[in-house]
Amino acid sequence: MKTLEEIEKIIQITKDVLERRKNPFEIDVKSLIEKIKEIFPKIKNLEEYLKDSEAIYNLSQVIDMQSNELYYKSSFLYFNPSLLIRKAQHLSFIELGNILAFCLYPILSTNFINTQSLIQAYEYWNNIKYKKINFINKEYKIEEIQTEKVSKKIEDKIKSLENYLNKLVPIRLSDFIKDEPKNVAEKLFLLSFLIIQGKFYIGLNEEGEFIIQKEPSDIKGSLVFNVKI
Amino acid sequence: MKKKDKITEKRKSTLFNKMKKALLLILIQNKYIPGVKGWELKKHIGSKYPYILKLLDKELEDYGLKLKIVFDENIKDVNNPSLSDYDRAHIYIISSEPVYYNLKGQFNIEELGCLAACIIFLISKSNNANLQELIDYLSSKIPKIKVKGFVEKFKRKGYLKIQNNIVSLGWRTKAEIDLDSLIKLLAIYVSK
Repeated sequence: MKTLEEIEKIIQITKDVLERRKNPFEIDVKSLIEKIKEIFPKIKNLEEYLKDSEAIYNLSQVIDMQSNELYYKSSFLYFNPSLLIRKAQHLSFIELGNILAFCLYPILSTNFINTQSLIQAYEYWNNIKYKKINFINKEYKIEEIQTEKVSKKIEDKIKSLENYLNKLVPIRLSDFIKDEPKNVAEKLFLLSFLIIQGKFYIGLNEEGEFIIQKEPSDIKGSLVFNVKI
Repeated sequence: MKKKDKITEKRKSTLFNKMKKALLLILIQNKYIPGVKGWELKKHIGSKYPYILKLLDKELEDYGLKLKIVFDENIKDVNNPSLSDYDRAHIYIISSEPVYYNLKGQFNIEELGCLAACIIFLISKSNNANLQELIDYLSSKIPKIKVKGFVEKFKRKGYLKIQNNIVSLGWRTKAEIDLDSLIKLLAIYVSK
């Protein structure tokens, strides 16, 4: 019974194409033929043989339809978008790169420093003021930042962050630091203690985003953040 | 020298000076995007700048270069652009022949192939595709993390434009890549 069902499935797919309900290039003829090849030794009665031959006949009709469509469209110099995508998918990156290289006409441009911009830059440099990182200056002293001498004030903050993270992990790092620039720096600063202590780890998820998790990650590396202060 | 000759001589020198000015304006990059907008040329050269551009294009031919005018997407008649169309257009200087031997510094062959796949995908989707769809299409060949890096690079360089997760062709693709030839070459290409 199972073989008959499988053959009927193939017949239905081919019928969808032949009755123009489906694009003939959407079905993978090769895999369907291989499937029929697998089913053939399991066939036992005449009904199944007839269904099998019907499936093969329908598949041949689909191939004929594909060739007719290709012939028709190529004679009108018409480029089918789905065919283009399919062709690009079948070509290797080297072949695609070479094709693109023959259609690429680079732009010419130049950059240089003139006297006026040099004067402007000099004025800017003279007026520049050193911006201090406020949160470290106001709340923490340099000695407090050292891991060995973590003050009670920081310790309390770390503990509250630990409790907060315990409820949320695994959480995306981008979600965790979604805050005002000043708070972002503080959050990351406190998180670094938890990571050093081995309570949390930073890893990558399937989509390549950084996540905070409880288990160590296989990927090793460093994180760099740009925080506007 | 006759008065008439003097006038023609003066006119020639004015045109030549304007051509020089236009060339410098187009070549020197302002901020991030090279080239110049039509209205900027109008401001510095005058309202007859399309004529100056034609003369400049002829001069550039000898050096293997040409002017590329990328008109706005909403242009009414591409064959007969009006002055306001020229004002909105972006003008670049590009090489008149593909310089395929000089691309290695910018991209490796994998990135170049990925860029070609991106462009073909966007053309087939009428220049509007979902970012996730594009990533799924590309990740059939290379890892997803790598794809994201490549797409970000193409966006940064101006080959792709991404707005609200919708991807379209960027300003650099429109300026640098001959899309018609790309499609034709791909259509006739036979894999070995």
